[in-house]
Amino acid sequence: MAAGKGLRLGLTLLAAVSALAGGAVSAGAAEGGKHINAALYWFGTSLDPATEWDGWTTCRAGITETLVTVNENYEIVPLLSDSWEQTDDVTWKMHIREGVTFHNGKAVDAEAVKKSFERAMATQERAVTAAKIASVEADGEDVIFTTTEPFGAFLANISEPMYSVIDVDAGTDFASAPVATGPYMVTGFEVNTFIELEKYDGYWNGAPDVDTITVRNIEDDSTRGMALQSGEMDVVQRVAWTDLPTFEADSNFQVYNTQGARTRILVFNYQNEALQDKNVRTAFMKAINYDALVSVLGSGVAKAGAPYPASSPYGYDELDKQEYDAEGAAAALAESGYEDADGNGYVEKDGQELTLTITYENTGYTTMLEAVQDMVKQAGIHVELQQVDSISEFQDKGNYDIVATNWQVLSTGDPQWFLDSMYKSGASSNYGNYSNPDLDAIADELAGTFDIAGREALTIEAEKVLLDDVASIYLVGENNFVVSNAKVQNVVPYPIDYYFIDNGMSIE
Amino acid sequence: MKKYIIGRILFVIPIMLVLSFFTFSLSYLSPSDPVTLKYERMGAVPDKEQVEKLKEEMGLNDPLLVQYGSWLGRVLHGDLGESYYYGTTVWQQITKRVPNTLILTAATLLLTILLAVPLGVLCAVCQNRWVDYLLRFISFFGVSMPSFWVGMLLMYAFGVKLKLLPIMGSGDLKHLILPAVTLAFWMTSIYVRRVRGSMLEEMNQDYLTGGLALGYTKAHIIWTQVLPNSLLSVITMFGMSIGSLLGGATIVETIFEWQGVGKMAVEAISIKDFPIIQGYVLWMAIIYVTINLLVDLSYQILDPRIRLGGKNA
Repeated sequence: MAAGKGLRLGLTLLAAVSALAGGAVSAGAAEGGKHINAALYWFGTSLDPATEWDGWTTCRAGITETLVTVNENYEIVPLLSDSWEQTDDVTWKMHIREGVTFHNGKAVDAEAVKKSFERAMATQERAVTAAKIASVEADGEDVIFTTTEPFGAFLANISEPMYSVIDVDAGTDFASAPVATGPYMVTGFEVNTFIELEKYDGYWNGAPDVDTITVRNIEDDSTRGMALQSGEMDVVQRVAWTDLPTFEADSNFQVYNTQGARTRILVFNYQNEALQDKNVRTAFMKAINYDALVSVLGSGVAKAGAPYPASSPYGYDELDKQEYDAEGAAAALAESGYEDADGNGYVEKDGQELTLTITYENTGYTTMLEAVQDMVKQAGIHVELQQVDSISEFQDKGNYDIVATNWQVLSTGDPQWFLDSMYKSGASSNYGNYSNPDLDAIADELAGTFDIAGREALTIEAEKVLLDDVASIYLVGENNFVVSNAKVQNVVPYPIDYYFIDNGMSIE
Repeated sequence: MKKYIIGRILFVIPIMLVLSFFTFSLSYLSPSDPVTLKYERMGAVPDKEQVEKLKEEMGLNDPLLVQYGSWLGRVLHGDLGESYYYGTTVWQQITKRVPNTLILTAATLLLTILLAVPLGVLCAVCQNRWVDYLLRFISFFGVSMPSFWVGMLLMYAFGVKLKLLPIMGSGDLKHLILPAVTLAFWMTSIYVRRVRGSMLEEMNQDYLTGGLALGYTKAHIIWTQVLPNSLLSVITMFGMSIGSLLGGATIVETIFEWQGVGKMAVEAISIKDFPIIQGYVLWMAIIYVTINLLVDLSYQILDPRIRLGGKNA
């Protein structure tokens, strides 16, 4: 009977498929030698550094390298380029380090670097705009970059992993087997699942001590933590915040915790009449107890109060940071004529209660924002929380009072991008229409300032303007953490989280 | 019979049209767009001009009917489109994920049948004795505990503490055990109660007394008569369970990093990867229609009443 056949066919199919299970690929460890199992929390869809943000993964895995890099103190240091010189406002001469070879043994020269940059720029728009590159030329041992305008952040921005130097003529598939210059080369890759790495003996800065690494993609925070506990993983980037105390207390594990470059911010909408009043913003800012926020959220965060993290060279200690000051908050509100006339705990002005809505999309923010809600309530400010699917819709329409979000404030270790896109008048991400001519002038000057000390000083000036205006509220800084078992050694806690595996990382 | 089957298969077409249009409209109505979400997922702040340019290129700014029409046109030519996110075609992505989900489903079903049927019979035969109470008590837990919690407990026990099994990944048999057990625990808990209930119903029928009077042993009647009859009522429900497993056990697949269609669907939904979502909906529609068809057909084999009456159908 036909029906019987169909059923049997179905069952046979299922049985056949389950039999296949045993033979399917598995990311196994190599025979002998030192091996590390490492886990990331995100993979892109390919290993082509020029595509989207996939370079972040190749950078984390120690496969690819850029001309310069940012070290654990946010300093720009040489990598594939060992020295550079700025010949005029728009021209940068980058000398290519001698003795660097691609994974296929081919020497890295200026011509190869030029090709790699040109390919990145042809692959995605971001590679053109991030460093404002107009042209790339090879000249002997130097690569000459011309920018479209004087751009002080050029050097920092070419450390973005999308500018990783790869062998464009290697003839391999960029998406699954890029030929680059890092300490590890790719021997296997499965989208979203794993990368198999083998050390590159010809690495210019000394071959790593570890022979092979399996990098797995484990998206669930708890699973990643348990994979470390079970011994399946030796070192992982990030675990669930709630698991951190467990690892910190256990001598079998080592937690490397450092403040990252990401700051959680309350962004004001300056179209809101109440928020145009600086006293209201000041009261809001002073009503928040920043130390208490950190203790509520645990070791996953660090105290903020200023735009840039304390670990960066941007004057955290000398700034007049945002601090808790209950009396100051009350005084600011009183000065603008707010008082709690009806005794319901919230202040009013002209019969209008001061009610502000915080709109946010990140589910992980609820605890933090509830704490904020509670804190500002003490000052008499009524805050409502509104969690939405996507804040971009609200930002586009200007349809919000306050947005809670986070910014990579030192992307590529440079402060300029954050100021340019967030606070300059009319900037693309300045959704709240903040505008201050002083800030605009500093940002413009910063773009044309190339020496490091000058840039630092200008950035601190900009921070002073922002803090004085109470332009936004800098709630907490997010920490980057790597957790490993006791066998793994020489883990460097990089503040920028696309740095992870390097040639120094080792295992007993 | 043939006509009936063909009719049922053709029925997929209107279902698909309605379903796909419905999901398409929902995606169209939802406020955020895949381009912005992709940026945000990386923690990057989208540049408005770039977003608009990409949206235009991807045809996301076209009116609903134009977008749907062009999608439908491509699908009719066998082209499900390209994923916004995975960088592969939808077909490649689905064919890569489906085997994993099939494996997990097959293992779960096998465990469930091996456990639920004997335990359900045991409960019914020992009705209201301690075995019955104990099993019902355990199954009560199994039904109530969310599967991610059971999964985490199993990971902790067998992975972290005993270090017997890997806690995540897909590939070989040892990776299969924990997710399959997690799902089977929940399924078995449901089916033990279900099998018990329908067994008890059947055991109240007169034929049991009749059989005993004819000199058959109780065990013989239970295995040859009562059990097959009682399983009949469980089959429809079982069909639905298979459907939902094939749709991917989203949570279990996610926590165990099992690369099945459920995990794919969750990822696709979170970043509004419309082509993948549409492909997934298509897959689900095919599963449910097929499973329903198989369930109906299995009645024809298992239930003589339907089989005999079915000749006229």
